[in-house]
Amino acid sequence: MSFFETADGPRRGEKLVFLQGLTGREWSKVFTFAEMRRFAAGDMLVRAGDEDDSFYIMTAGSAEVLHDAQVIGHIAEGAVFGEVAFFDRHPRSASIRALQDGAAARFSRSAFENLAAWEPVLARRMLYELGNALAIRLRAAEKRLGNT
Amino acid sequence: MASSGTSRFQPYMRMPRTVAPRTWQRARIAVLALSLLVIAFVALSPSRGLMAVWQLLIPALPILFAVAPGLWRQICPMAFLNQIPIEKGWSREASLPPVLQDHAYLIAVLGFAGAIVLRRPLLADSATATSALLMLALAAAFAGGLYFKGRSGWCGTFCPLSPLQKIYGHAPPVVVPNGYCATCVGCQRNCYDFNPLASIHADMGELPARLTEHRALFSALLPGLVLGAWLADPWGQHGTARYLAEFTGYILGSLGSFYAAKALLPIGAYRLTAVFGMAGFVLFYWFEAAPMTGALSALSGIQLPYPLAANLIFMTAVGVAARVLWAGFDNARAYATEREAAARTSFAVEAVALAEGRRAAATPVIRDRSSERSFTLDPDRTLLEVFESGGLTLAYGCRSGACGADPIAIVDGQEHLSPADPIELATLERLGLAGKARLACVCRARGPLVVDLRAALDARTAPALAPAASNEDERPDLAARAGIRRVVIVGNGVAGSTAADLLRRDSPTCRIDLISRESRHFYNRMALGRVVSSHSGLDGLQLMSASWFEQRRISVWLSTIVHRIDPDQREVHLATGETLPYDRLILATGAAPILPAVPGARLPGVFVLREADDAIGLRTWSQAVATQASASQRPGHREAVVVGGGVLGVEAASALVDLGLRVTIVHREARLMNRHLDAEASAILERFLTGKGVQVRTAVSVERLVGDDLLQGVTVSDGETIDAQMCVFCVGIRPNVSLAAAADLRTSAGIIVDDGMRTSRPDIFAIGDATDPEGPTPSLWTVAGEHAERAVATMLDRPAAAPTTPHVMHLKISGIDIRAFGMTTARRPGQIEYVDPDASDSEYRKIVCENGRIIGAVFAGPPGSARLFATLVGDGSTTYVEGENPFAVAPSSTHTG
Repeated sequence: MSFFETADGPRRGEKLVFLQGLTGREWSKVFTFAEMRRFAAGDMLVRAGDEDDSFYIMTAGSAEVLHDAQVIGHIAEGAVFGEVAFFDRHPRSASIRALQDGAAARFSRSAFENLAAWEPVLARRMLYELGNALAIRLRAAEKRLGNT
Repeated sequence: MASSGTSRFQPYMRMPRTVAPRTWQRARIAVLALSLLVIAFVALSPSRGLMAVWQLLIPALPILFAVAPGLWRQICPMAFLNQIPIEKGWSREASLPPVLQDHAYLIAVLGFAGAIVLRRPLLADSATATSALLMLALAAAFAGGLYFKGRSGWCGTFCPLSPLQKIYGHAPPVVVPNGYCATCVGCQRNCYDFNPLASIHADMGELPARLTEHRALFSALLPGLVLGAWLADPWGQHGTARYLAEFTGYILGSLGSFYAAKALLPIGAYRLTAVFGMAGFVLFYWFEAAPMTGALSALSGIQLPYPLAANLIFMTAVGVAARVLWAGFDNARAYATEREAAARTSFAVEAVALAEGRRAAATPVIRDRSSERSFTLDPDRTLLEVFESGGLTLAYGCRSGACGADPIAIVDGQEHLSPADPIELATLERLGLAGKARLACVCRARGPLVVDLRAALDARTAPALAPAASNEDERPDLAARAGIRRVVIVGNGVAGSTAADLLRRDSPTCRIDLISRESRHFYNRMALGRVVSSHSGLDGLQLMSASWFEQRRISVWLSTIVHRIDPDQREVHLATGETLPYDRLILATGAAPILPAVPGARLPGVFVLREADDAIGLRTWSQAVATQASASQRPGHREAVVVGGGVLGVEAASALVDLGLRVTIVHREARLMNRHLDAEASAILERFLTGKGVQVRTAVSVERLVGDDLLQGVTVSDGETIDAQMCVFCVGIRPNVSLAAAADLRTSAGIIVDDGMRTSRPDIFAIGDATDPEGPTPSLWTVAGEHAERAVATMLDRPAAAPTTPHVMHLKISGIDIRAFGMTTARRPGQIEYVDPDASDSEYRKIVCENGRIIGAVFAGPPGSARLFATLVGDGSTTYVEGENPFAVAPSSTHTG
């Protein structure tokens, strides 16, 4: 779901951190509206086919992206995932499995609406960055299509 | 920047001040007077005056600029005149237009270069020209102050001497703080007066490249300007043209050397700029030292030893220049280090965010066994709030432990829970869940906890799992003792159902008939907003099931209308033709929503929101409208008007927004929820709703509803018609008194009762919304429950349980936390308002005290803003030392007790 560390996206090892540069105060505003989900290594954070219109920020730990039991990507600490279903409200297209114990901040559509009502500037920035994550994925997919 | 306390580059506000402002003011007046005297001196005694100006005063300035530039900027007569209009309030205080911002420096450089070029051919020999120049400078500075704010009208921008001060004075031995700007108005970029040591480094490193080049260009010019001024011959036989050509040659040579050095030497832009600038300084004194000595001797009448004095001046200049360069280079290194540290700080902040996640991963949790989800423990929040902030929506009701909408099964960690208060215990008992569950809305956890949210829900819908208390038979039958065998209760809302429950607890034998006009058993009226916005329908809405009533032998008459009461015969006549005799009658007939008599109020699409059927109707209609809208020429247009900005109106608007409608609230009063909130909290609510896309129209009322056979719009009192396919009236309720009035009971707005809830006939009681509304908090669950308790206690001649205070209003919409009770504004002397000084810009917390007791409170803001409400306000009996802000003595929100 996140394309920050795929071979086709930005160079492997190059990490795009979501909402880079936010102050501690801004982060705490953002987290006011998030559900902090804890998980253990091996937990499924997202299951393909699930109906859930939220996106996540990986605040501790990392995870892998699974498609038909194949690992197709990796989600590093600080990255965002789940943004596709957040936008289109369709069932999850891939599964995410935790590689370590950790925590992720979950933002449902309605939680995000509330965040946007209080913090329009932060919310706008989040939308741009989510859009950026989508754009990176789209370009990666286009490139993959071109290669095959 | 890293910690500003340790930074070398302090802004002027943080610099130590050793000279009193008044002393500076006197010095400025003296220097201005001296300047005018000099101008007069030039006019009266041209030869000596010109010598004083051009060979003494002006040559003395560069060394002052290099040693203590701030001193000059404090006393400079031009700066003084420039700041007078600002201090006196005569200035237009305009911002410098962007074009001038970008070009002010070049304008200053041109002015400076022009003066230098004209110095020897014109100015130095002409008293008129010199006086005019000085007067012009003073006037221009004053004019700049009349137009532009801060120091952007002269000192930091157009003053021809300012580029010189910025380069010579960029690392002075003596730093004197800016003495003019009481507060910085941000009038210019990288302001020298704001931060004299950092200004040049910011200029060289952080401006757009083009503007950085302007700074470099000036330094590149400087040596050429000095050489030209002294070596080009203005009186030579070839005249002015030759002079200008020679001057240009020096300038080009200087520029050429600079740009060649820049191209060839591995030296940074700042260093090169500084070196060329200070080279100009040294060259200046190379030429000026001798004339200065001469002028000093001539004007003072003391013959100075010529080569020695001149050499001394020159060597001093060399020393000063070396000192400035040495300190400047050192500053450049420090500046780079601090910038880097600042950049690291922003990385550290990211680390803060990640650490937040790690902390969450490490703190104890509340785990739900049924969903395998974990929630971060917060001892200041109720379990309901913890679940909600975790994104989980539980079916909740009154949020005060009275309705029992949110019981949860505790699997493990019971010992970490706060003890249950009497209200919660009574409710759990009523639900048959005593000892098995807790109510999420009132209990808090101080340690790890495992709950089972689904198990609790099962227990509620299948109360057979929880048999009634076994000791029932041992309790005295209070009704029998009072000779009461039959009680009829009209109305199965909160008041009526609670009364039935309480009565049964006190009497296992008396017959209880509960009559309901509605077709449903007791349900959670407070959750109607959820029925509108969610797809779960009436699921979870019902608070007590048929079997609950069966078990307690309470006969419930659903969909049954009471035709009349015969108080003399003590009979209730039902519209079905049946008659129910009673010993005592309780009227809990509730209230009806007000539908104002405006034209069009009967159009399809106009709703009230009071009962389950209203909520279902609203939801269905909104979808019908959606289908119509997508079929019509205005696809996607679904608009609703909610009339009334009270609690119910706001909740209805929020529910409709969640359904995806465009909603306008039309409120007759000046601000939302004006009965419960003060102005600040109302403003916060309005800001939130506006942010969610709700249009809020206050101080307008509805004139008429427009439409032919369907609602199409709502015309309000300012004449505008708001497009709407549905309209919900939430403008208040009117107690249902017709039954009581027909039975000749005393009524006013509601049924009149005494303290024991007795009507004008002592065997008939009235409770809940049907009674005469008193005080600002009717229609609260706890109020209705208290009525029921008082009525049953009076009826059975037993003491009533202590009333629940305070009756807290809790707005039940997601995304905002608003709670209020009592007086939200101090109205009398002796009532003191305390506002939380630590609240963020979107939060607001206020407590009103009288004699150290809390008599009112209002908390508003994003979720969690009112988390300390219960801790601070408690049951209203919490006392505070008079004059002490309760927020200052509040336990920290991170306190984990």
